Amino acid sequence: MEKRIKFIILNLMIISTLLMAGCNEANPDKVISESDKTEIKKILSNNLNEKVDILLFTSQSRCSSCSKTETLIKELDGLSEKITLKTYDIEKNKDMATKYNIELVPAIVVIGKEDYGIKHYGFPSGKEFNPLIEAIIDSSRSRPNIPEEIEKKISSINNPVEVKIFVTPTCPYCPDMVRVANYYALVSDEISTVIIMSNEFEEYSKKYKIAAVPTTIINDNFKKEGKIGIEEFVNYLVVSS
Amino acid sequence: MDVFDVAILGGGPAGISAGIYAARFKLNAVVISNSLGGTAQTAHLIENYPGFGVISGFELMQKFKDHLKSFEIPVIEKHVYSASKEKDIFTIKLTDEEVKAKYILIATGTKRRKLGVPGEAQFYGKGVSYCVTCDAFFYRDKTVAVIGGSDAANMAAILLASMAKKVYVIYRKEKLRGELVWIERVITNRKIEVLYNSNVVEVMGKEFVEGVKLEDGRKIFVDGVFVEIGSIPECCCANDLGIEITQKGYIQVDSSQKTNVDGVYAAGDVTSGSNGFQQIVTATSEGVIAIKSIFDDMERSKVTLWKKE
Repeated sequence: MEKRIKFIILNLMIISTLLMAGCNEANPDKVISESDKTEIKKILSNNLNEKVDILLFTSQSRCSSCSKTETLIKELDGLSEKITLKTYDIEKNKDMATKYNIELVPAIVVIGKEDYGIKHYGFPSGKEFNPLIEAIIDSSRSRPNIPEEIEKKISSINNPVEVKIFVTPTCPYCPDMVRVANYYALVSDEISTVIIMSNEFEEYSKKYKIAAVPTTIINDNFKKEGKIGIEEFVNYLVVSS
Repeated sequence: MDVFDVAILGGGPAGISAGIYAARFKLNAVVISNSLGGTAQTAHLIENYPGFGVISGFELMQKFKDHLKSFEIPVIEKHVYSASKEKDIFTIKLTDEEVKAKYILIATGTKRRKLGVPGEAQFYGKGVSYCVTCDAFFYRDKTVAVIGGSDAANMAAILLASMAKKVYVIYRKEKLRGELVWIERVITNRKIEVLYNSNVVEVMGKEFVEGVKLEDGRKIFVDGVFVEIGSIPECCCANDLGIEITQKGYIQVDSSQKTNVDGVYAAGDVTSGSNGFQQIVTATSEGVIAIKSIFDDMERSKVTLWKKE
């Protein structure tokens, strides 16, 4: 029942104009349109509980989407007093990049009430923008309660489990897969998620032999293409841990 | 446990429009769907839904969902396993709970039809795809094949041609079918070559797709295969409840969207309705008609009960 309430809450958040092209045509220096800003501000105001730090890792030397990602996150930062943006250049802040195991830039790390282990690589455009907003909101809250059956399975995971989800901005099934993975990052200390925009990181996607999205990779050894249900997913986590 | 007036099974255009009208008729309704938005959200472009001009399937269905959620109607995002009927009350079994309702409206839509040839399952996610909006990115400057010749296949070919080096449309008939607007765009696109009267009998490859073999022995070498050969109805619970199915597998409904089983209605692509013309606009209409029929039936029942007393 808790899951159901959680999913209803998550799905209430719908931004009318998605950042499909990653630019605001009315004002090229901005990413989010004024009407979306109003909507997002309302959503953040109604849903953010505690403060959230967004750590943005960029690079001046090898990053095509760092600039617009920084613009986007700065605009988000301006929409709520509870959001604090901290920007790090990975060349100048190697210790922080190492601490958060940053492999690609731009990288967005969301740290809320606790560090739930949610990381996003690439410009969160198109259908991937809403799941990021949801992750920010969820991170501002306490860990959700989970059904007893899932709790039992989750408690058997005693080693770190990293879930990579490869997505594209035009994939309608990807946001649901990201939500499922982030849900488990929220409920377990051992589970972390990394969302990768495959369209931006072609070489990285090739390394993992990605030819379809969403593709889920757990601990770099389990791989499954397509959408996985919330109950099925926990079994893969247990087997891979 | 609460007994809902109506449980709407399915969250595509038919299920969502039914949910909206149920809320406005003040019915105690619930929408159950493990994929709210349905398959319509995978459409690259929708150019025939009145009032929206050109809009992506995802954006249109976001608007549908947004509209639904502006009402206080519960949405359960779970898979429906089965349904049964006892003393005029339906019990719908979900993953880990049950829902009870006086009426059910089946709007479970369709699922993608597969080729059913060797190599198709083996290379799923390794070059075989059923979602062009998801995976077109992986074929920039590559050669791909679209299998099929209807609107979905034509749209897929046009989207792929904007990225790929070359697109083959492989179709079993002698003419493409569907909206002439799309057909014209396909046959005039220089990157697209249509292979008519051609049946794929095998998807070939080693680790990834390398090509397809046709019935006449030809081999077409491609990096990706997009299967767009239509869909088959997902007649959830039809056998459980003894619902009449047409020869083609769709739920048989009358003009009020009623099935042969009392209390069971159906709407959208899963039904025989709208003369078999499966469109978002016809699905939304069927969902609305079904809810109105349920509402009228409930009103009639009240009158009957009152007269009996």
